[in-house]
Amino acid sequence: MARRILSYLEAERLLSKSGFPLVKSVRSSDPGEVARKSGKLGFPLVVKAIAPNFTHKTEAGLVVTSVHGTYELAQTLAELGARAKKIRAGKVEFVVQKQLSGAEVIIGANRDASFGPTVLFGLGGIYAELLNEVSVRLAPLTVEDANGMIEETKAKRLLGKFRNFSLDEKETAKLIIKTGSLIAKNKSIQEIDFNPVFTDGLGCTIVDERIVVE
Amino acid sequence: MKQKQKLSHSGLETLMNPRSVAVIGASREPASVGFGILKSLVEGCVLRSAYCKPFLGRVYAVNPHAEMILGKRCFKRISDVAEDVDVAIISLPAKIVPSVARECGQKGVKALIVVAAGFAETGGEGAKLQAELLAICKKFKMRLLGPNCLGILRPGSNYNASFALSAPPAGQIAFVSQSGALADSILDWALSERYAFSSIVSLGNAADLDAADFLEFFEKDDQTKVITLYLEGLDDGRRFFEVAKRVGGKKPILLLKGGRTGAGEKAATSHTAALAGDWRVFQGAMRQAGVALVDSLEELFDTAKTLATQPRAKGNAITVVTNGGGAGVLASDYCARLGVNLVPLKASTIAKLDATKKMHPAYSRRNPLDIVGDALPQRYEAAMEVLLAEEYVHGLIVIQTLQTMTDAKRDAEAVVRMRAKYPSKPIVCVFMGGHYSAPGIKILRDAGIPDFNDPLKAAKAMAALCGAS
Repeated sequence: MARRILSYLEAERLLSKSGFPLVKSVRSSDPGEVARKSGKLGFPLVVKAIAPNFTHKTEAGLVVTSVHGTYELAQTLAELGARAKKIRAGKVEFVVQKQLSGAEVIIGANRDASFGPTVLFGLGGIYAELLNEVSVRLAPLTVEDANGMIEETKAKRLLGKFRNFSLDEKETAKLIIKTGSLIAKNKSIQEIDFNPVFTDGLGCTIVDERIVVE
Repeated sequence: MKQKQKLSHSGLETLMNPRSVAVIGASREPASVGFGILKSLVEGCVLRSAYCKPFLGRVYAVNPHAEMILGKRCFKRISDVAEDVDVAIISLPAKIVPSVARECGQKGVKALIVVAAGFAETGGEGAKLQAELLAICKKFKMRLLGPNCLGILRPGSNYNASFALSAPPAGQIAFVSQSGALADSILDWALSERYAFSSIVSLGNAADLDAADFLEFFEKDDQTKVITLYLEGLDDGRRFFEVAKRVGGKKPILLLKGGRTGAGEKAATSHTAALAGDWRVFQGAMRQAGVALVDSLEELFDTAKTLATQPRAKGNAITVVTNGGGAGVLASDYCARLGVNLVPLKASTIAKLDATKKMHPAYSRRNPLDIVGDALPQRYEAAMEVLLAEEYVHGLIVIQTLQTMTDAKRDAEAVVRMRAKYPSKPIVCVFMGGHYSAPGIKILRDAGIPDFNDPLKAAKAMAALCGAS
């Protein structure tokens, strides 16, 4: 079987079925409808154009953040529609999400040739590449394993002290364990990227995901 | 993940505790491997050391062209041996190893050690040869160590089936190495540093028996208290992880990983045909399994020696006695960094120290306990005694800097007395210096008390003993 990245819809279906905390969003191929539905989300918003042919949304310029107000939303939807058409993205849908604030972390999973399914936790956002603060464990994991992963990085100290965001350790550990179970139980899943995951002291929310299957 | 079909465990048991060993390819040429192996079995080792003793089981030499080597009558083939043969160690060129292995299988040999290089580590043809050898072993239910390995040493039972240059003292450390040459060098080091081993196993290409198999063996081996490993890569990391997690709960496992960097990984591939895994995954897996990763060979064996000779601390409340302020300050710094808790001394303890009437008026009255440069053995002994007798003190680091009046020999004797009197509390020493502290250091070494030349090493040893992290 060939390796492929799950589409936005497939990934969303898989994750919500398994009870993963996904960011609140509305979706439609009709810009008018998506604008109406997003009224209940509140501003600011993140607006994305998704299409089966395009998995790298950001690189293709199909993601716009910090959208304030209904006028700006309508304008953004129109722009994204035009951009998607220009690059022949195929049948386009619009996704509108609430833009979150909080500490950003990365949670991912992978299959190692020797050790089998592994889970990764690390600092997200600007720290991800700058500090390379990540820890790895083998899946499935216990609560102690997940706590050890958080402990091992500077996530707690950095996110607490310098940015006034606190890491919800309990919920983060839960999400790490859940990610481990997902890859350990589903042989077809090769890679999982939850990047970023926002955590604000009151829980965790997956904002963007990328799942590779084979 | 490469899943190996596992052969019987009794074969491994026999490999490690055989009653009879045959050397196939025994040689008359003193500079050859085939001669060295036979000599190791017949005399105990190639280069004599105080620890060389002949193997007590039966030894057979197989060489179709010789009559007698090292007092052993030579057999033309393994099939000419009338009695049972448990282990055959084959020292012949790779090309003819499979046919000799088949003869061993037909003879009913339980396990093979193949020392020759020229198998999977050389690629294509060699890999085919290794697969053929493994298939023969499976067919006849023989366990295989190697190919491309140094062999096995079990000093406690005078079993030296290797061409190692000498034999180390018998002790409670098991060492499993993916590099044969490294194992060989460790032996020489062991003779001077008194690292004492239950076993040294060189895995070679690990075609059949691998690191996880030996973890399982040492889990149940009464001679082994601490397991040390040098590994470059693992074909089946998951199985090693599962086994290590279980065994580590019973006996400490210490591991040094080679091939952490890109350059190292390349060297590892050409070295034992094992692919060195990604360091971060490896590190995470070992932490999860409770395997202690160390940074150097010295740390590997220093920590192992400490864990093999000292009781585990009941908790993390350690005291330091020193006759030098600077060394005490360094020890505190290192302990803090490594998570070793230097416990504050209670007023009642200070009162007891005062009551000995042996303390200097200017002694520190706190932990680290600086008993001042002019400390003589009686003062050392009084201080150690008061501290070790305290219930809340779980372990002791003894530092001795060299001053004009220092009596290293008698200080060491006092430490040895305390070791005997308080058997449940670990003691680690730092007798700093060289020439003039040597008599004291020798006494500590002979008594199996870890002694280091630097407070950092002592702090690391104590961290391992009190489970600090």
